Amino acid sequence: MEMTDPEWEEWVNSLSESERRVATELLEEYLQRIQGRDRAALQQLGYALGIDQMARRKLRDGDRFERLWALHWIARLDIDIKIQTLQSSSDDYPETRAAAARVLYEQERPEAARTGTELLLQGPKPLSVLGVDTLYQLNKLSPEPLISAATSSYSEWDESRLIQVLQVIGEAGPSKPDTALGWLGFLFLSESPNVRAAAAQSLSGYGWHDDVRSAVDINQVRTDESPQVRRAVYRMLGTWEDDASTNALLDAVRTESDPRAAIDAITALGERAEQIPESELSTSSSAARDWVFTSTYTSTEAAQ
Amino acid sequence: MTPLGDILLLVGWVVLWYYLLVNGVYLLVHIAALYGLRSDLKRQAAGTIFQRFSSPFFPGVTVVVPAYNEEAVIVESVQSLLNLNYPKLEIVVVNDGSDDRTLSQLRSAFDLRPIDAPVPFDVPSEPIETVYQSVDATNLRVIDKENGGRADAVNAGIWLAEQPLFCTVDADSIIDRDGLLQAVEPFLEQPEETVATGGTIRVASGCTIENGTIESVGLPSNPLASLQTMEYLRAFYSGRLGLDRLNALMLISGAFGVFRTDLVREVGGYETDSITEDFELTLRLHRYLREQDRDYNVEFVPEPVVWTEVPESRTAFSRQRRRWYRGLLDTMARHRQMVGRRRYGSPGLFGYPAFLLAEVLGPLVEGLGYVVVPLAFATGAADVSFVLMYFGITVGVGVFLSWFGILSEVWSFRRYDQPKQVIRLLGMGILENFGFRQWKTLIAWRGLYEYFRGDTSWGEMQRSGFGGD
Repeated sequence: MEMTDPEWEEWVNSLSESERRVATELLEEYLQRIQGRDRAALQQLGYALGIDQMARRKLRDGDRFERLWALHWIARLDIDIKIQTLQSSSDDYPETRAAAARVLYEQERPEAARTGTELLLQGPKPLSVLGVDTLYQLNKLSPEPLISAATSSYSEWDESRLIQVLQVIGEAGPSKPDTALGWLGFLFLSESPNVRAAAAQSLSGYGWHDDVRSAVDINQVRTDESPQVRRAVYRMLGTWEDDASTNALLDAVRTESDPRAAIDAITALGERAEQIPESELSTSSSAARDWVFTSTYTSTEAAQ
Repeated sequence: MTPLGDILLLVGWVVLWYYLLVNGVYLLVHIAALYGLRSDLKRQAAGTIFQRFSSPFFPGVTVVVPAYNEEAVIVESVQSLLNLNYPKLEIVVVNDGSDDRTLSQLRSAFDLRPIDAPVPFDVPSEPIETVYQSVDATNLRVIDKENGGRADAVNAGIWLAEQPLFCTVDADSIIDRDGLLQAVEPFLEQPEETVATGGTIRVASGCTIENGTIESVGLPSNPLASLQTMEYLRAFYSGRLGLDRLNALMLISGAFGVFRTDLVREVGGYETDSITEDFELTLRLHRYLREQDRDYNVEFVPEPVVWTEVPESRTAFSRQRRRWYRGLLDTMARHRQMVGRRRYGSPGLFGYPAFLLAEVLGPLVEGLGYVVVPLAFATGAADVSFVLMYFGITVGVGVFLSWFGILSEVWSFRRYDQPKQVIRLLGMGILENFGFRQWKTLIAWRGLYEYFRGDTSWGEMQRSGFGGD
């Protein structure tokens, strides 16, 4: 936008140094909440306060935290900075990369999803909280850039990074039918139960995807040694809603010995669990069924 | 000089050198804290460009509230928790066999309905009588169980928790509205490694509280509570933060800690026969994870704050501190295998020895000094200059460290933002050296005596409630 408003300039010139500091703090607060034309007017106050010049200077010459400050203001004030400059001034720390990617997202730059995702996923280390959210915002409507980056690099990432990416895939909208998702099947062989559980969570709602169906052996993953993973698998199967997954859940409630996993299996089956004869349920599943249906009944009654 | 005089003078010198050694360790921890705070502040100065609350990635948290005879505060406490700014929140109140109106207050305030089915798994606690579901707040459940103590009640809550993380909060405590969002961030940043985080605890007395939230921060009018306000600042902004930066955080307070639910169940929950079960659990987690060669992260997050009541009478204060000291001895003895062993990493090589020197032996040796030095002077073994040097150093170092903690807070988070409040806190940093510290060493000696006598009592704290000021 890069323009100033003479009225704001006149007002800013009448302020003392302390008053300008307070105005900057208030501007930051309001820009978080306000959208539309009012936001554009407030952004002009930022220019009148000289924040844009300071942000450019700090982005060029500042340390990690000053560049972080600069990138946040570049996003808030919609300051026009070349993508190459954003990349080169942010690529040494996950938190600055996250802020630069956020600028691309907030300013709706062309190719923001692909460029921002690449920037965020440099190196093998975990993302910051802002990084995870930005990765999601960039990919939530169409996760192809993320899935493409993950397909080629997932084996190089550390486990926390992998879990973060899987969480984002799980939250984002569905990918196209021809997107390669077979690599997710390999993650069920990970040594970390957290990764295996996150893999199951990421595939919720993907029961229709041919690649997923051929990569994930339902009967193998539902008997994972870790109850935490089995719970995530039962929740995943509950969203697939086809005969194969229902049968896998019915098999699970016959044998499941972990009470919490049994609760998830019963919950995933929903009303279908009511029809199962008592003799076909494991002890844990039988107790879980009573608990789940009574709790649900109490909650429903409460809601009414 | 008599042989007795020689011995007294020698002990005096040993105590003085010990004091300098311990405070040297403290100083190291404080300097580490300062570095930590500096980074946090710079990061904070950059501000934020997204709304944490709307992020779908914050894992669900169950807040477990153990309640034993908490009729004065329980409804307001639960109301305050329901107002927390957190996207996926479950609240489980555990009525630990109260013989006052705690349960009936909850039933009428939140319209509780019993769940008519047995709990489908074994819970390692005293028997559960009924689990209730609230009609008014669907994310609130209340467990009514037989009395078994705080740790037993928390265990019942942890076993019935449905979220991947849990947080324990005492019924007399109030969490900042955004406190949980901040405390949970390390679990998002390192989802594989982070197993526990702890926030800061501050004194609620003197603050204006409305509808279960802190409206304005003030200092207590009660001098004992004011001294504790200063102590808490020193302990959290210097001690905990410094130990965290040295990867040796030894304690996540029961008043405000967030843990991975499955991991705490895996290690068996809180130890019910410990009287400082929060400290015992933190050490046990360190041991368990180190023995399994797992990479993990236990982190102190300085910004989220929980506000709590502190004892305002000398009797209650003495009882609380004696319990803490007995619990400290008990926990250190249980986990003595950790000391100095490389296998246990920073907690074993630095955290445990530092706690032993500073927290276990420190007050005992200091107390010895308060007896020996005047005796040495009285018998003529020590001259005035030694006595002045002794008290000058102990008071000087004490004031320095207290002011360090207070000024760290003023420099960073500025919850106490009025000059009057800061001056009063600095004054407390001086005042504590004239009577309060000496009294605390006496309490430690008494705690030691009770420990050897096998005293495991908790004692009760009378709640006054958060009624608006």
